[in-house]
Amino acid sequence: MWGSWSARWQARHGELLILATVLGVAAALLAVLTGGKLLVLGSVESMAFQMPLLGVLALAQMLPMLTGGIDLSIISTANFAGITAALILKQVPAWYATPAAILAALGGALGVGALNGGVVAGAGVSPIIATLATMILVKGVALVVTRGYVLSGFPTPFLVLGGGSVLGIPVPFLLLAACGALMALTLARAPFGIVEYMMGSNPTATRFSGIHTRGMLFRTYLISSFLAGVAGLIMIARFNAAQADYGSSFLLLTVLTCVLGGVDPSGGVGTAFGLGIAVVILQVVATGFNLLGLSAHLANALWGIILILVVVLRRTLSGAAGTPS
Amino acid sequence: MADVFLSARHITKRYGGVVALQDVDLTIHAGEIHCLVGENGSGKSTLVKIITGVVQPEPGAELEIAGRRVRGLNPYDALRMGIQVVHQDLSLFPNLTVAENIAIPQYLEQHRGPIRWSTVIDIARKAVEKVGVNLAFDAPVGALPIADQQLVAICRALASEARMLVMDEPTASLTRQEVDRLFGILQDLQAHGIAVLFVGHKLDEIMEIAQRVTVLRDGRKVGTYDRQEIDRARLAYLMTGKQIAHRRRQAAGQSREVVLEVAGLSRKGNFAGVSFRLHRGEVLGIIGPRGSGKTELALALFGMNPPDRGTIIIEGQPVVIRSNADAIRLGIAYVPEDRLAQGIVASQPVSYNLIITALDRLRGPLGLISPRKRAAFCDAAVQDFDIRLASLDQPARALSGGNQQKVVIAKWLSTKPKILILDGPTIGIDVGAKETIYQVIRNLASEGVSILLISEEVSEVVYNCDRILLMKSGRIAAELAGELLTEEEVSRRMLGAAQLQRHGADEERPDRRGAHGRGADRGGPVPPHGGRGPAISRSGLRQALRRTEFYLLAVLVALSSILAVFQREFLSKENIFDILRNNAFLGVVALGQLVVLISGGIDVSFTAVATVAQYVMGVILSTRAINSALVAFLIPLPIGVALGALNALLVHYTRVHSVIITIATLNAHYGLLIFFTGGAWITDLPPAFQQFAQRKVVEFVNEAGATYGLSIFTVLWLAVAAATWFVLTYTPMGRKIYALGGNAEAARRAGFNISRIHLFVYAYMGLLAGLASFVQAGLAQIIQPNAMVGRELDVLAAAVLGGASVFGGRGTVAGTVLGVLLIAVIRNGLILMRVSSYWHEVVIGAVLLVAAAITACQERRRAYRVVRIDVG
Repeated sequence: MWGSWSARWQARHGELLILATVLGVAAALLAVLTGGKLLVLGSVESMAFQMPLLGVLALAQMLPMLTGGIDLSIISTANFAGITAALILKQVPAWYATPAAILAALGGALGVGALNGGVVAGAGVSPIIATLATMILVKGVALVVTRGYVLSGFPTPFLVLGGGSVLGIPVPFLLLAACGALMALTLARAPFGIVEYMMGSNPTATRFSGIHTRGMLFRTYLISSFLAGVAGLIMIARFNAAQADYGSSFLLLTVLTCVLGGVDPSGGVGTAFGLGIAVVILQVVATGFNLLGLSAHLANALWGIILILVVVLRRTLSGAAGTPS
Repeated sequence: MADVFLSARHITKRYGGVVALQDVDLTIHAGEIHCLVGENGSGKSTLVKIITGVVQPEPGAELEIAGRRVRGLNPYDALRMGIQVVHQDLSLFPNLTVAENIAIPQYLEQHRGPIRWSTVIDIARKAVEKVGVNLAFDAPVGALPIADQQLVAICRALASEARMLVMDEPTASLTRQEVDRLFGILQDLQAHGIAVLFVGHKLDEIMEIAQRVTVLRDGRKVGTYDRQEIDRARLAYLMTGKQIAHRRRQAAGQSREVVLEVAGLSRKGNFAGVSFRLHRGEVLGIIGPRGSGKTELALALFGMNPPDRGTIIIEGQPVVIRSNADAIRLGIAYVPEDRLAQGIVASQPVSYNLIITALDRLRGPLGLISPRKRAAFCDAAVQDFDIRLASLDQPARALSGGNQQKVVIAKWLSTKPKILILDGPTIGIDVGAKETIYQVIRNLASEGVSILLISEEVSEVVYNCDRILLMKSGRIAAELAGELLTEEEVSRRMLGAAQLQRHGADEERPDRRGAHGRGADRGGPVPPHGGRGPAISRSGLRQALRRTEFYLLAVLVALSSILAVFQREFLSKENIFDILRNNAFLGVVALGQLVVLISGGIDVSFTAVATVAQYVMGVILSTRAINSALVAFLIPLPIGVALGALNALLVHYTRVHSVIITIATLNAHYGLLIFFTGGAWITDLPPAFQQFAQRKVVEFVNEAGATYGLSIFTVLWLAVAAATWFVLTYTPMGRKIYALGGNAEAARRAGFNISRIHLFVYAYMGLLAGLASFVQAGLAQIIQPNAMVGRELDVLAAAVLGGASVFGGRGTVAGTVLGVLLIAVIRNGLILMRVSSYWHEVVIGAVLLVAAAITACQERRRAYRVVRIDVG
């Protein structure tokens, strides 16, 4: 039993191990460069507060990528959900403002997901085009509503989502852990997860097996947007502010996280576990960048370069290992 | 004996530790029809790859072609020596016309410079005459029936001086009369001295066509035999090393209980008036020539092709089956004909393939799959069906064809079906493994499962069925049972059916066999036996009416009229010239994006490329104080090309989808630019540059005394459009870009240099991004880092509106220009109506979404038709 599990683990994560090592070395290098500051408690704690945003967004990107698609609209959706929540928080001063805001934000995110899912699964539009259109559309709506202004100053109960701690563990980190665990369980053990892999590899054969593939694809984009909504709530609670175009650099980061974590962009391959490792590595590197005082733009450029290096490295490794057929 | 054309001796090939071929000889005479047979894995395809130069044999091999000793043969040399291959998947370009598919490889071989379409047509005509068939030259190949596509592939092979034609499993998807036609053509070629190497495993056909047969088994040559030396049984023995005698199924005393009753079942264009009964534990065969509606009928019972009329009664209850979920609930299971596409998910574990139909029953606590139940379930399936595997975690592709088929049957048997439909269950399965599938069928029947066995193989149904229904042209023509159930009788009737089907005046049901999907069958009701007319004869007008450009133009005119009514100034010359000038940037990049989209990629990094190019230009102009518009024009172009080439390199090398690569380069370029420049604006552009930007080719003066007119930038845009059109239509590179987008694998096989195509495509996009950055700087008269950010949407929207697709192979310059104009008019209208600029993005996003959805729905409808045709 263990033998087969470890064999499968190796088959699925073998190359991830290599990449993890490479980036682990990078992280160690950064630790040295920052004079060990990377490893002090303060940094670890701040990482635990920052990681959830990247982690939840990466989870949102992962599901569509498992089906061979992509969701370019997750950042817009997160901001849209954040603004929905902010509007309610600002205008409803009652005690129920926080739960109402959370529900409305997630509802709004699900609305975007239904649009994405409807266009991708229902009409059969390429996910790249469909989610690019909703990305701009949703951002536009958010701009129309806020007129480009920042909405800030939320009630304390709501801010717990971004800055609170339970037993010393940051609340956003708990949220990430919950989402990640649910995703891991779903992909490994739930019928939905198994169908997701099957569909990502061969949608026709999956449909011929009696699976309602369009419905599954619709749900995929629905869940992706829901997770983006959760990320939006974490984001505005952390910043204590909401805006239509926060965090646009996260889009690249989510794709990088997925690719680094072993998700195959053409579908059917990838696990929540691999994604988790990638999130931790990238957060360490990001914090290292921060401590080194790199500008956000340089960091962004480096993310792009790292993504390129990862795919080039992966190709080089697989090219060396593969035999002609 | 005739001359030897090809002689191969001592051919050995190893892949890693696996020996694919061991010391094999093969001699082919000029003008003979030579069959190469063997089971899957016997080494047939490796041998074909070696004599066509695709792979190299181990040292010690001797290869002689046309009397010349050959070493280190490559595909290109093989082609030049007259060895042409028709691949099983045909390797055609569905988006290109018949003439182009036939003639382009030969044309590109002989000609340089711009493409002369008249020469292309001439080459195609000669090839078609050689084969002696009739094909509509201007039809896109993707719209033809599969048999006609095969003729196109043969014509292409013969367009050059072919001395030997290699055909890999050419009859796999042909109807009987199409096979007859193909054989006629092959014999005709043979008469002209062209050798044919026919690779296959359908014994009947081999016995019919072969003059000599070479048999391979387990990578070794068993022997080469003259047609007279062998018969069907001996051939089967030589291939498998076993005496294969299929035992006739002993019809057990089956019950007369009717499980399934079908009455008057019809579906337009598929089948009509089908009625039959299926009893418990019975094996009922449905046999008929390809294209007789068997598979369509099966899919109707399985809920994937719902009938228009008629009733289905299961165990006495009338039922309606609208989806395959309904069918499964009612106890119907379907093992599809195309195992690899529809039966298994090859890259996922065997265990997933087994449990996919049983997910709900394997749930444990929390609705999750219980590992214990899952293991028990899979083990039971493996044991019951004797599936040979190393581990349940193996990907299904690692199993042999027979074991894959057992996995498919096992997954369905676990749903405890009352009715099991098997569609061509032994297609692509070795002769030796067939018997094990037959054994499974017999066991199931004796356990009380009622089986519909759909097949084209006479012996298969005769050996396994209690009764046979003969289908032709969508109707049940006869029922055979008792002493009529012999191979001779069924073959005789089947042949009759094929001839009858052909007689119906060359005509089968129109919309099931292809070409006509787009044309003929659009009009009124078509009876199931309608006309299989000559392929595609469309009038120019009707063709124009179906084009994207036509609709775009109509929408553009309608929108403009509405705007003109509400906003008088919209139609003023000033406004129109303004639109044309202000959208020159958009227009130029959209043309670059079009080229990338046609090749099957996408480039979202162009705004960053353009911004970098623009910055370099601005910095050089202002620091060196160069007062020249020409220098300004020349600086961004090489920068764009270089950055585009970088994209090409990464896309080509990593083989990761271009959207991911270009998201990365977008961020890398842009981030580095801002980091190094600090995001500063450049405002001191030289006066010459400003003057250039104001230049007009045609000038007018309005009442107020201000001048307006056709801007130099508009002219630049139109020049780029003309150049792009020329490149795409008249240069070899342009046609190769369409070919690559239409079928990448076929482009590779045609010997196109894919890396050069990629390089051209992305460098061209980069070039136009550089050019566009010059235009944009001229329009804005200031260089700022975020001026072009966010224009990705407009550019993609314009190209997609114009008919290009992210899936590649489609799109035109005219469509893209119209797409840009439409976006421009929408934006202009919003400005004139004084709509807040925040709304503009919402509107454009919505337009793109709607346009993409409409296009996709049309595509899907077309694709659905093709799927239905293919499964027939």
